[in-house]
Amino acid sequence: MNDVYHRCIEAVERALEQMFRRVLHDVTGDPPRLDEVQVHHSEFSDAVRIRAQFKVEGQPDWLIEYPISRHEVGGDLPSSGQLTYNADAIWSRCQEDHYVARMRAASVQAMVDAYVSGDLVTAELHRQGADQIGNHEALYHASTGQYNVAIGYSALYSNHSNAAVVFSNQFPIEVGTKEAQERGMQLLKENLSPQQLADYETKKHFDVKGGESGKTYRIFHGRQMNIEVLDGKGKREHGLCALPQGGLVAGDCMLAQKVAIECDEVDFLKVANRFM
Amino acid sequence: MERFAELTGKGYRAVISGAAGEPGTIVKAFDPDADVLFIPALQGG
Repeated sequence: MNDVYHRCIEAVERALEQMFRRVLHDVTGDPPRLDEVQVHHSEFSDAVRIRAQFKVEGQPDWLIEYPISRHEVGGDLPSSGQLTYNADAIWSRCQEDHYVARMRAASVQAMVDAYVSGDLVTAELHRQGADQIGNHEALYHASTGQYNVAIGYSALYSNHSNAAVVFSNQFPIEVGTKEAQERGMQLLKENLSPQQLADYETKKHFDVKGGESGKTYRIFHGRQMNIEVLDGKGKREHGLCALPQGGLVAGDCMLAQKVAIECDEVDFLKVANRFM
Repeated sequence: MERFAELTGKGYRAVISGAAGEPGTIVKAFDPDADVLFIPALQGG
């Protein structure tokens, strides 16, 4: 992939985004929760996908993907002319996909509700109905910091419903007594900068800078699988998981993670496990 | 001082917090005047 290719893709993305916004405006009259449009071209195959990300109140809401066939691409590179000319049709198909995904998501929610209430038979029926969806719910919950929920979804989608039970019981976000949790949160808050505290209070996450690299890490409320590495544009690159030994409460875990990243980033990266 | 040696010997980081949440400083030697946080070692999760 060379610079020419990337510039071409960026041009296609900008053109598609404009077209999508116009279609959104025409169809709904209430434009754009659309955040961005990206074109993904696999380095390992001919697959090309258009991905449109939407946000509500600044938070990821839903994401649709549209596979582009070789016929539509017409070569190794997507043709901006072809893609933008067909933006309306592409958008319609994205909407259809999204509608189906939403219907399936409702089924997944029913499954989870049954699951939480202990009705494992009903949960299993819903799971069977939903297991073709993919892992969008897990990705969504991971993106919002609800990692134990994401793990549960991931395990369920992987046909490991028993594993989901074990995971959610074994790795809850909250441990310890309420008093210990409150003490941990108090100590954390005392060690956050005003900006970090404001972010945490409103979004349940805060950003820290790596002491060596200067990279931005986002720490979500939680104990593990709660750290994201962000790129220069503030987008998630990948997740990292490292937590203190000893089953500490969430506040203590987040403080330990903050200190490690800020004061000893190299060592932190040596022990942290990476996840997508 | 013994407590400092014991905890750092177990892998705890001894950290003096930065002002107003700014990054702190890891200390390697006991300072009786410093307000130190002991942060347990992290492990991959």
